[in-house]
Amino acid sequence: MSFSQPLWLWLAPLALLPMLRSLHHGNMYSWNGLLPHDPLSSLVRVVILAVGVMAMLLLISGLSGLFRGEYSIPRSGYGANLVLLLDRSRSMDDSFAGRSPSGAEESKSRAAVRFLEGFINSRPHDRLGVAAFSTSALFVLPLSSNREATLAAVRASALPGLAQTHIAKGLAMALSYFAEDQPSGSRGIVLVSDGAAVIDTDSEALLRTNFQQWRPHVYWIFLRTAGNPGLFDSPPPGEDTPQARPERHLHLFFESLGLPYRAYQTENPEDVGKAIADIDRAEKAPFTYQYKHPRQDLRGWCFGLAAMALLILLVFKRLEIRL
Amino acid sequence: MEINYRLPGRIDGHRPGAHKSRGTGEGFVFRHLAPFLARPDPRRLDLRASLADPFGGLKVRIQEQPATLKIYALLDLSGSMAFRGEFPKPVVMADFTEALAISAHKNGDSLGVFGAAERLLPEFCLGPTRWPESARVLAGRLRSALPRGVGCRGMLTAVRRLPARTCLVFLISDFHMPLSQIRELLAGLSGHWVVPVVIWDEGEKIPSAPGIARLIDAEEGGERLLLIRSGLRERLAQNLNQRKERLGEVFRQQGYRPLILDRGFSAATINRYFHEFH
Repeated sequence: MSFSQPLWLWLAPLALLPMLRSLHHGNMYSWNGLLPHDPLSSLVRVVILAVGVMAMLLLISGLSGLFRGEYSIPRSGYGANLVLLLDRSRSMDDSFAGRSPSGAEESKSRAAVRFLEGFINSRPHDRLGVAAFSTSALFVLPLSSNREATLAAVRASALPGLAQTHIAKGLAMALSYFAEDQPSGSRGIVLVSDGAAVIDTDSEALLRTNFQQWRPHVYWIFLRTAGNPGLFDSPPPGEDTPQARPERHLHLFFESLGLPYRAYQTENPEDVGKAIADIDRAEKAPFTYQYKHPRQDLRGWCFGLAAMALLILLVFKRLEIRL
Repeated sequence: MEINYRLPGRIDGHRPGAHKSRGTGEGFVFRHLAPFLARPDPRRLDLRASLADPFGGLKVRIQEQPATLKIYALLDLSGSMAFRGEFPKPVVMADFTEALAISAHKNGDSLGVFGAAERLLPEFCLGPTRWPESARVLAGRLRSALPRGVGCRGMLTAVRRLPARTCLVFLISDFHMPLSQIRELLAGLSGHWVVPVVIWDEGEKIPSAPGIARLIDAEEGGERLLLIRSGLRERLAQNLNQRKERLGEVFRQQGYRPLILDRGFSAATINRYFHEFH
């Protein structure tokens, strides 16, 4: 419990006012010694005092902006810490056929988003982070249990894309989520892209270290555009260079990491669905995680309860009789 | 409005007045015969007794001489007397004092007034006088007065200032004080004829409607919050009755009977009191 406007708390001594001034008009009586002892009346007096002090305290707490800070509680479930790494290059806006979608056609990014939404909705316990990349890596949403935020972040990635594909930066960003969050339980990176780029030697060394440190499961949903070379095709000798076949070489890089790795080469939306269903099946290990409750504004409660207290006082006031 | 006060016994009075006294003189009531030389007044010769005397001595008739009386009213002006319910206590006191002054004037008696709370209050004190006007002025002041004193120490001072000769003392108060203090007061008045006038107010019984009332003690200032309901009202009425009985007991122990005025000043009630008792 904390206050967002603590200066109002200087008013707190006002809570003693109900002790100093009575709610009821004082009637002069000749000798109180004559009055019978009455426990019920004493109780009413104490209740009125307490309710009065409460009303003041609640009003002052409300003014001071009482809130309950963010806190986390441990939870357990079946799922994983997954970072969705989404390609935001312009080519993602094209259909699988490699042209601007028209009519019933669906862009690659839309198809990916559609299946990812289902995936997210079907897995209540996952902690999901979203990162994106194009020319540069985009920090979208850190690992969290907040379903709505994740869905919104994923949907946002269906908006028209940016420029190039710089996959090394994206992977570094995804790995940095783990460094930031130190999650327990199994970790995974789901890379959704329609292409790859050359990973230079420096980046490769750095990525290798990070991958070894966090040891995430890696899933690559490769959205292959018609006519593009596939991941698994062996190119004719002489063409097998990272510059000519970046996708294949990224695939080889992932394989060389020695981590659980699956690549899905998809050529239509249904393949994407199958791939995601496969990931869903694979990432079902039990794990515990910290569920974060967001900060809660308690001003409404304060003012509501204060209103109730005042209502009680009003009833007591209405019961007053004067001699 | 007159108070026909009477005394239960004879007084020692020198000044001719209206009350039975131990003195002898010009009154109508025959007391005894005496030799002529004891009171050589030929008008008082009793022929039948003189002739019947075997020694032939002359006898005169000795008559009783009614005498005047000193009356004192001791007014309790502590805070509790400020209660203004249905019958405001200061007004009842004022009415009483005024009626007493007129009656005293008619009987040729003198009236002295002591108003007191924790000390004597000079503006409510009056030396013994036969003239009712000054008492009437005092009563006028009393009517609008707001007594606010605490306790009855002033009453004790007033008791010490009373003359040693037997007087008729009206002790006017609501007697909302510890019984020990009442006993102390009565002990100081033991040589006098005392009429304890208990002024209560019907309003002290608290109204009939249920609800919450905050009561502030007029004298000590303490406050009580009461959830008034029929059960509580009965208990309060019981307390008041009990108090009335206890008061009566204390007065009776000293040989007095209280004159209770709980429905305002009523000459009829007061005169009935004197008829019944004396």
